[in-house]
Amino acid sequence: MRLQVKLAFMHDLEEVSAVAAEHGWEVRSPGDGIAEVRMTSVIDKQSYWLRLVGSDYPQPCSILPFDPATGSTTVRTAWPACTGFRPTNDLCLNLSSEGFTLHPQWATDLATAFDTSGNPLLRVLEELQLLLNTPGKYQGRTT
Amino acid sequence: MTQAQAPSTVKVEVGYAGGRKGPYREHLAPETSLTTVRGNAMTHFGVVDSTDAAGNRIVFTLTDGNAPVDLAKTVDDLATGKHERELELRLIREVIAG
Repeated sequence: MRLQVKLAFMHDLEEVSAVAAEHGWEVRSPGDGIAEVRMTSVIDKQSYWLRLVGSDYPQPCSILPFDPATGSTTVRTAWPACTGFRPTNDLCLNLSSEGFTLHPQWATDLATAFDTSGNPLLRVLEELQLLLNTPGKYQGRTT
Repeated sequence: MTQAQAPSTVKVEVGYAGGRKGPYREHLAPETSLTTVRGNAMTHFGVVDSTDAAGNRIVFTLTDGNAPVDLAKTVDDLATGKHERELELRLIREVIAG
């Protein structure tokens, strides 16, 4: 990982950690450019762990839910049933690297392009939290 | 005999993680609607609601404690009962799914 990428990620992760309590998040960083965040839906109080890997930060991170017991991203019950979440595959949303790989047109549309200004790590986490808190978009834990 | 009076304005702060500048801060009249606050904050951060090529609406949601606020309410409605009648809100973009 390039030093510039590592430093940018660390800088923004510090701010995420500073505001984590306000959002009800638990945040840890098991390695360079990696953040693991537990967030909880206000709808049913179910919690999910998300692993964000910023290999080209501040460009979009890889984002995958994982099972905290095994670390595996292929455990279906570790995934929320939620708009854009495709259990054990990816987050097909205009905030993950997987989403932009699947939909390259998003990057060239001003409405959906990834904005690297400010703190993209915090912005993405807030967008995901809002998604998990939105009735009609979040339907509970995947079975 | 004196009576405690409610402050004449409500201190409002709106943050946006994707912003190039610091939070929107203003002392607003209690009757100011949250629709106005959202609009002011969006102007401050230079963001607009938009529609992508596929027709998806991308809107910015004003939130309080991770939940969307009712834009029909006023800052006074939201500030009632809060510490020193101060509002700390967030602007969050809604994402698009493929």
